Amino acid sequence: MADAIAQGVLLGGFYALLAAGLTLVFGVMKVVNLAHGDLTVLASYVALVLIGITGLNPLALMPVVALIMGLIGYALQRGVINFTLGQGLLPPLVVTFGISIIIQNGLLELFTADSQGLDAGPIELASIDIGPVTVGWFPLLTFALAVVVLAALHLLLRHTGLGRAFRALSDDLPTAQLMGISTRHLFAMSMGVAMMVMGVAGVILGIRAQVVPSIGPSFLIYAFESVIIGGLGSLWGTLAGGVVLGVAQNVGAFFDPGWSELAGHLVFLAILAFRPRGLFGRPEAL
Amino acid sequence: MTSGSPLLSVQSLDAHYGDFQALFGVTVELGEGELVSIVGPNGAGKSTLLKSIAGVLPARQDAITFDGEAIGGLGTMAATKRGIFLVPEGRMIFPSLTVEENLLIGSHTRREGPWGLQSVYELFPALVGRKGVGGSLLSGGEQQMLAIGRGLVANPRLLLLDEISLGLAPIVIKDLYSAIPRIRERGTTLILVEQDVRQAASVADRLICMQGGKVVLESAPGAVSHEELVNAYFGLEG
Amino acid sequence: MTTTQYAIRSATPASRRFTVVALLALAGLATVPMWSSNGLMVSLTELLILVVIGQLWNLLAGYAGIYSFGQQAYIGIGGYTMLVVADQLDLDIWVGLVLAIVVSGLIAIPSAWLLFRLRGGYFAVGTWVLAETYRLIVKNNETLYPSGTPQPLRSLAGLGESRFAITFWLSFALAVGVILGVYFLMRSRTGLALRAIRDNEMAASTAGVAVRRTQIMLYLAVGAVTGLTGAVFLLKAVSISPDSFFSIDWTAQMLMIVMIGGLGTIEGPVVGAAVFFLLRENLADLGSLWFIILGVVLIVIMIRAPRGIWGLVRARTGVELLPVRKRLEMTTTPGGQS
Repeated sequence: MADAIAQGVLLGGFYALLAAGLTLVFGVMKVVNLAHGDLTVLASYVALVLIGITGLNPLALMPVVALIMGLIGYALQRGVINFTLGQGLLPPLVVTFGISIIIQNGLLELFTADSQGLDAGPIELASIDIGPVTVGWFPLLTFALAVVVLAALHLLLRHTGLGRAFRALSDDLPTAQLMGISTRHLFAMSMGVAMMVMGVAGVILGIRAQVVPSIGPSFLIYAFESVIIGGLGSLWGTLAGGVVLGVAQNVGAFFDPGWSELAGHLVFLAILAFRPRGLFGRPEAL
Repeated sequence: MTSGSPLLSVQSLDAHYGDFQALFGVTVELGEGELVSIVGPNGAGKSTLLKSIAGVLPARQDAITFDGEAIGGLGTMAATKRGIFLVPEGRMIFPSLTVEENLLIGSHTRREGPWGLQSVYELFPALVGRKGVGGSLLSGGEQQMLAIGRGLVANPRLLLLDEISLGLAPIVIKDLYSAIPRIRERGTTLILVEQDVRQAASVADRLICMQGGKVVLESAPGAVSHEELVNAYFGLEG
Repeated sequence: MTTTQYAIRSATPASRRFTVVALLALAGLATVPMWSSNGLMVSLTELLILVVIGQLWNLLAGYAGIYSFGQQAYIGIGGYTMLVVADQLDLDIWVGLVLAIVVSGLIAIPSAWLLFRLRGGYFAVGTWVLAETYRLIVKNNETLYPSGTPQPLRSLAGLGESRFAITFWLSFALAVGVILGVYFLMRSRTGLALRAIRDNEMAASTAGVAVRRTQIMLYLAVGAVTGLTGAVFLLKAVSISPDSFFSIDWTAQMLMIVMIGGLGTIEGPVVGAAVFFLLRENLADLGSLWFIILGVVLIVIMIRAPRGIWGLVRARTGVELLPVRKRLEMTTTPGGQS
């Protein structure tokens, strides 16, 4: 049980990584990207292809995957999703849902439904005893990486011109436009940054588990649950939200493997019922 | 100031909000370095005119010419690229950005010119001590200074000020208006929209009165009697 | 002297002609079980169910601005209610149909209470999560999903060959009922309020329409009817599993039907269901390629023609077959005083 909780906490780091991109995109554009999970899975497959070409360790390829995903994100936003903005809630939902369908089935067409994993070598199995619990090195690394990525996002948002423009757009879109901020470019930049984070998450996803083309929506849902549990618009809140979700799933699985996901959903619904603003909810701001 | 063609030329501009027509054939011209005040009651179309010039509202392209280029309805990016910046009604400070960050957003377009953080802090010393304060925590007067400062940092060729005295105490308004000549000193062309005729007339080269979406009177501030102005303001026949 | 007479009407010449044609077509459809093969009846049943789910999703999204990606929750709840009532409680399938409505409606109440705390796009994901939650609850339940195998609806055996006709008539009645229901709802005061919500939520709420309340009531009603649809679908599908009845594919189909046909019109989902059905019959063999085509179609329609096929038809011709809007008609008669 203690092991389950410890692993759940570390799993939370991974969920926070998943949630960061969703939060950033929602913060800047007020759009929920329904293809979020599928794009993360796409990153796993991008890594798979790159490993096939280079033979390198997936961890070494992580920056390349992040860069490729960032470029795809910029292009996707500029070429498709931008055309759905400013006409209400439905168009971006429908279009990102369409993208989700295309990615899932495109991957199925290219890579079949067989599960695939990324081999990161001995680190995957190495573990360490910390007090009463035994934890794997790789989950620890994942958690540390999540903290580093969140810190980097925090710095980007607080201390760069790009981050300032993101926050201005998040606060007040029409006034930001009056200041000469190009929404077309900056929305694409926000999607690009989000997808770089998703690239990192996708590599980790491929190392920690086997992936199949159809699992994307689950990761959209975990990201979403972390966001709502942590509280909208709070980057560090999503880390707490991810941890709560990870612990809930692992404790659920401890009692019955079938209860893992369900336990996560139930905790999410309980938060929605009793603390609808989340654990660290603030008014919607980046 | 410059001879020949005006900096801004608005010709027979119409504007609509859905089925509602807000401007009817408005024509206004403005020379480089000039300050024009537009007065008129609520709903006269003053703000609509500013928004059209700033590219917020759709317009016939040749209805708005800036520095010889037809830019009507091309959007805010086209306007800001050419140096047209609007300080919107209600200040619209970014609440989650600090005072300094709000100013820095103003410099997003990286236009060269006389204005920078330093010169804005000199113009509005009240902002200096508030640099790191969140935009939502400022008083109304401070917000208005910040909004004007944010527009100035962009180094505009044409700065559009919409109702800067709205809801502020007379002493604060006096302060704000004392800054305007110092803004002009640096060569910025200004359009000032006001409901308060006296304030507007005190700083302007020219006064334009709008009523019901039309220009009803245009003159130098001294050349028109108070009575004529009041009649125009309220739409009475002169 | 001329007299001008004003009249407020909904009907249009096209709608009057259409009413005649529609009544004939409906009469024709009603006779299908008397002459058709079982295969044709099953196909038409599928088509009618597509019309129903499209119409219901359009009522939420097209008229009330409620963007649910989790209506499969009610398909599943309705289907499992039917399974429990008919097979495990040994009651009549008619009781199953009634209870499918009741149980879905009841479960919709706490669901709405939770979901309407979420705003914008997050509401959409929330509905999806809730449907997943119900799927997992069923999946982990030994009575509903014993040893992980789909359950056949054994009670159907008692109906023999007549089950094809019964299922057809049920889905036929459901389709006609839902279309008429939406039609009369949209012509009512509530319909006007709903369209106000769709057009501008803020304006509608300041205009004194209790926006949330109206949206929630509609969500509950649509949930109940979607439950009934799930129960009818089980009669057609014969066996039930949580992965198929609570599948997000239901939402994908609803979206496709509504977007192809035209959002926010009654005719749209009917047209959309027919087009989607024909596409599926001809292309589903392509497997994952078929889904890729669907995804592309969805995106292209949303960006290029967001009003769908019926929207294009209406824009070209001005035809409204089931007009819900009231128009002011003016007839000017020359001469005389009345």
